[in-house]
Amino acid sequence: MKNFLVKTILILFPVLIVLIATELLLKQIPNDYKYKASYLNKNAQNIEIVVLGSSHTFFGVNPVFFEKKSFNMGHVSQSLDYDFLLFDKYKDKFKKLKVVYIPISYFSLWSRLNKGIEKWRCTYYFNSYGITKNIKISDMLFGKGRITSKIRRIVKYMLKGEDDVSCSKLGFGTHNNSQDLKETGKLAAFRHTENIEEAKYICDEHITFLSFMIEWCEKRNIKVVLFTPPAYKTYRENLDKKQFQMMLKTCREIAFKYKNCVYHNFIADSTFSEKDFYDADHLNKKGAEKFTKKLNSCLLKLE
Amino acid sequence: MLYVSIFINLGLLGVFKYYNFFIENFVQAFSFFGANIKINSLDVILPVGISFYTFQTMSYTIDVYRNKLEPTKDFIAFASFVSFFPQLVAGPIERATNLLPQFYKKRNFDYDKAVDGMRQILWGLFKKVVIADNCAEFANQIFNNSAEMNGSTLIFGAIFFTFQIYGDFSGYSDIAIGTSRLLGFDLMQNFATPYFSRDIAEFWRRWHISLSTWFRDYLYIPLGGSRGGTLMKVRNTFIIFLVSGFWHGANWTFIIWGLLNAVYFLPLMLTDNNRNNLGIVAENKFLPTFKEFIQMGTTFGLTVFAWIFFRAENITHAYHYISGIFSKLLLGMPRIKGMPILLIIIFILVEWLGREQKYALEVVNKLTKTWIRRLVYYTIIFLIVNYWGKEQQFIYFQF
Repeated sequence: MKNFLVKTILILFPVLIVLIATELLLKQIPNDYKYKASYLNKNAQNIEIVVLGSSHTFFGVNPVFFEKKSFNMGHVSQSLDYDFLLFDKYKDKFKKLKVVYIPISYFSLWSRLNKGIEKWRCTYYFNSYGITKNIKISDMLFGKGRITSKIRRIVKYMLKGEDDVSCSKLGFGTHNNSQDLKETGKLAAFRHTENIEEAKYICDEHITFLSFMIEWCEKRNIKVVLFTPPAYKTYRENLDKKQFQMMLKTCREIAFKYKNCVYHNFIADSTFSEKDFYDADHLNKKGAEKFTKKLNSCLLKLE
Repeated sequence: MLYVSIFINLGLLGVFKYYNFFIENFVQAFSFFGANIKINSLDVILPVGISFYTFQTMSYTIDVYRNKLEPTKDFIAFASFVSFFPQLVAGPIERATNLLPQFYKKRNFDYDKAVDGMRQILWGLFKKVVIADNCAEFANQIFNNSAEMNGSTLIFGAIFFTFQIYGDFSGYSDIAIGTSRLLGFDLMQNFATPYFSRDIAEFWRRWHISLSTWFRDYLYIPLGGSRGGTLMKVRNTFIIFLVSGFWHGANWTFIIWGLLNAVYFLPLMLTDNNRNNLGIVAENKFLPTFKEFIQMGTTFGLTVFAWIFFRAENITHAYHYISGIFSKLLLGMPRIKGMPILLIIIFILVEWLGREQKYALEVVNKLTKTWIRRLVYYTIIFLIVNYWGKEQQFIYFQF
């Protein structure tokens, strides 16, 4: 048996070495999560406005157009529980914080990152921010993707210096491709429609997280702006009315409950045309500029 | 005692697996005649692998009744036989005559057996995570959106499912058999390169062997088998395939799948051609003859067609799927990616080379040079690690 075990280990050892080395090298490549974590660690104390949220804000809010020092903490598919975890991690470092922007999209109250197809992103929160929620040991060891593509990424980084950072200095997502608005509208609305009865427990949990953040801000005289970002008509037309109304009702109730909180619904804002979107539920660079200026003017009114 | 045992076993299976099916069809039949009756269906989770261990336990009782086996006095051995973990949830459905005596004997570590077991596990993993899970991604996409696909894509969807179910089920069997060998147990062979069969009768001798032989020994032969007149042969053939379809699940799709196979099989049996191809195709040759190639292609085509019913959500779905194949741009370009096709080609090649072995990768044993054997193992490990498909549950866990 000893002979068998030794030979098995000897055969598997090189495989394990290659896998571990690949993962370790891959972790060296800078990405959005690492970049944002490092930026926040260095600059959190000077930030006056933070924007949380998913791809709707990652691609939709460009902090350059705020008049105060701001940073976009959003990531693709970041759900409200991760908004809370990130905020909770840095809240005590935000010495000058004045406003927190939290997007509540059509799906936000009922979806969680670890429940969807993007759950592999949970590992990045662990690797960059040290957030252990929803992390399995296998996720920590081996990230998503084929080993050949991982090796290709390592080689590109080592030889050409190409990294995985796709955001600006202030955390705004810069890499996106224009897509068919009609097709993506239907698909995204379908993807974002949840069974709200079944996912009620997620909604309750998210409301608790929101309340915690708002109450923490209230004690420190920090404003919280809840908002629903603009979306193109092909997306809006395919939404489930019940889910949408429930989302609106919840946001309005929260805003009504707290003095330091307001809610703005931009989903059907007529100032946004098809030229402002890269797909039916995401603004493009031009749309993001327009939208950030709009958020900024809301802020001025708030003050 | 025999009847009590069979009654309890089939009773449990009936309640958990078939109760809702009968109730729903009963209610539907009554509503067809205008009578609205209300009977509550069961809201219970089907115990994993119930069809497998029920049949395994029944084989023990029947074999004891037939004096093929001494009743065991060792409860631990019997409990281990029923719940032997490698094959508990998806087979092979072991016979008490084969497995139970192995629990009585002391097992010593056998190096060659362990190496063979590891090799079979490796091949099983390849079949499951590379072939089945990658094919599943495409098969699911095509079957779930069949209304929007053209004819050629639908054909590929059915082919992907054909390899998915084979990779998934035979992969599990290989892992189960390999794990058992590591522990010193020998389980029966469950698959023998079924897609190289030259007719449907041969296919059924090579597909899910433990279930086919179970039905043969405990149902078909007691019913009279192929003895008797033509009517009896037809009746027995239909019964065996109908029950086989029903064993897979309480859905009309499985029943149609079973009946379709009976229709394929019947002409062979009635013309006494069902035992024409008992050996493996192209034995001791590298390539098949043209005739064999055509026979294999035809059998494969018939099998693919039957799998459409097996995979479809319901009969209507299967009907629309098949209509879609013939009505929508059959000659159009299929909307598929090349990689799963390449993986399937590699898989077919290895299966072909190892078709005379108990499992395909056993052929590596014939390679005399260690470094070549290692190269093959590393290539398979690389393919497993790199093409690890989207995690899919084993299909046969639901049965």
